[in-house]
Amino acid sequence: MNKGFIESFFGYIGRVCIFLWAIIVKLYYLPRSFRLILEQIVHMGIGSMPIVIFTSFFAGMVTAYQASFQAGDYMPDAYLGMAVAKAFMIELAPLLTGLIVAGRVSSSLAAEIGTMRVTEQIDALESLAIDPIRYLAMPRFIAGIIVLPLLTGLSLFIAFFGGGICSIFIFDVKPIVYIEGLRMQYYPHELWGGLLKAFCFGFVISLMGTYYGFMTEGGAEGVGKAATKAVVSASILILFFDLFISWIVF
Amino acid sequence: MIKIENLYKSFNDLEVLKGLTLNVEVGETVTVIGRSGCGKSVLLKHIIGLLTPDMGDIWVDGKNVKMLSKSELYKLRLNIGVVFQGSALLDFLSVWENVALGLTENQKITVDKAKEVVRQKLSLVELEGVENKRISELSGGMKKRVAIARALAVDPIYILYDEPTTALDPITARTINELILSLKRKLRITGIVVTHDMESAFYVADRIAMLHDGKIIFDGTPTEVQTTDNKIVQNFVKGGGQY
Repeated sequence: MNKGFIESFFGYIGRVCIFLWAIIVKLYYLPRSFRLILEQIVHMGIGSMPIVIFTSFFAGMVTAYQASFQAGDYMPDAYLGMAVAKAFMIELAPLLTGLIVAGRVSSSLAAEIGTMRVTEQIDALESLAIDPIRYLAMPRFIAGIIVLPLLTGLSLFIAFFGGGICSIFIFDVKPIVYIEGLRMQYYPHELWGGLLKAFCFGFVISLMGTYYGFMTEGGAEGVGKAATKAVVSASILILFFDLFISWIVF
Repeated sequence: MIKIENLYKSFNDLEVLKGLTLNVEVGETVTVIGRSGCGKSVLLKHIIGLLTPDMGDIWVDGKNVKMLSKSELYKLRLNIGVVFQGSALLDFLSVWENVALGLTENQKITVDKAKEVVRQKLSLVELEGVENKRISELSGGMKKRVAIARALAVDPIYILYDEPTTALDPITARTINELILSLKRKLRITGIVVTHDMESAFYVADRIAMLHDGKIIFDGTPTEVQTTDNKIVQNFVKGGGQY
């Protein structure tokens, strides 16, 4: 393999790890940054809710429809609920939410912090004796970790609802049968595994967004590149963690 | 006192500062003039420790900036107010939150007390009743005033202005110059003003230093600047001579 590629790859990993460590060290100031974290939770969470609700509702309906279409008459009605529950709990809810939030939040974090970098707002914070990692990166990082599992929970609920609408109105499944299907063969570790994925996705989304924001150079072009890199790298890492956690947990 | 000794700084292969030496005495305002890109802003960033010199030292109140730990550097920065070129106000905060930032993040202070300080500082820069406005609602001149108020909020000993009149119309630029001068007289703060606006330089300076080719090639009073034989200084002051 090309030596230059290896050097730049491990250099990149090293820089991300150093940046992550700088955030971890600032966790000491967590109580002091409570208000900033809360603001970011509201900003990321409330802002992402409409798109998560919309996507999850339709994805839930499509999952129920496809399950019924693929299985035809061979599958009992109750299994429709189970198919939606299993698919969303272990895979679709965290992955869909992760990818949607990566597109929305990671790019927004990189663009916001990147603009602050190129307009000297981060230098201004330094000049006011305020650590920008503590003031900007750490609250966003913590907010991302908290928000993703919450949004995944919401996605799960909405998808069950969407799947139910499809099952009840298109396939004439009785509501009680659908709900019974959701509960069928439920294993708690499937829910926790999904939420663990969401936690890791929140970790990479906020890490990549803040990292590329802080590394922004140049002007508007640099900000655009930072936002693109943040989304692409967060999406790749989400897929990697999805496989890794599935392998560990299930 | 700020003492800069033999400062060298390069970015990749580009040598920006090549042995810059400058002293700023307590209470005086020194204007550093020079062409765009000659390293004036780089000099300011070295004074507050945002950049580390390749060689040379910066002494602020007898402390060598490059030898300070992060916490010591932050303590020192509380004594230095900085007004950035583009104002550098945090656009997700209101005016009062911007001005109070250095206080609320570094001191245990109640919101009421912080608001009182903000009102005082805004009145000092002749800007009242804008506390709750967003930054996007302000004009360029108002942003500069808010940036000055923010720099003054922690009662600094030194204030550094980076191109305070750039991108402002001549009338607003003049009011900012008057403001810098009146603050100097009222508060007796030691100041460094980096500019290529000669009107501003002559108006606010006790001493003018010209930065050229990485070094201070001239250091004198505004009168000495106007009477010097130094061709580079003359050329700069007269805007490159005749067309």
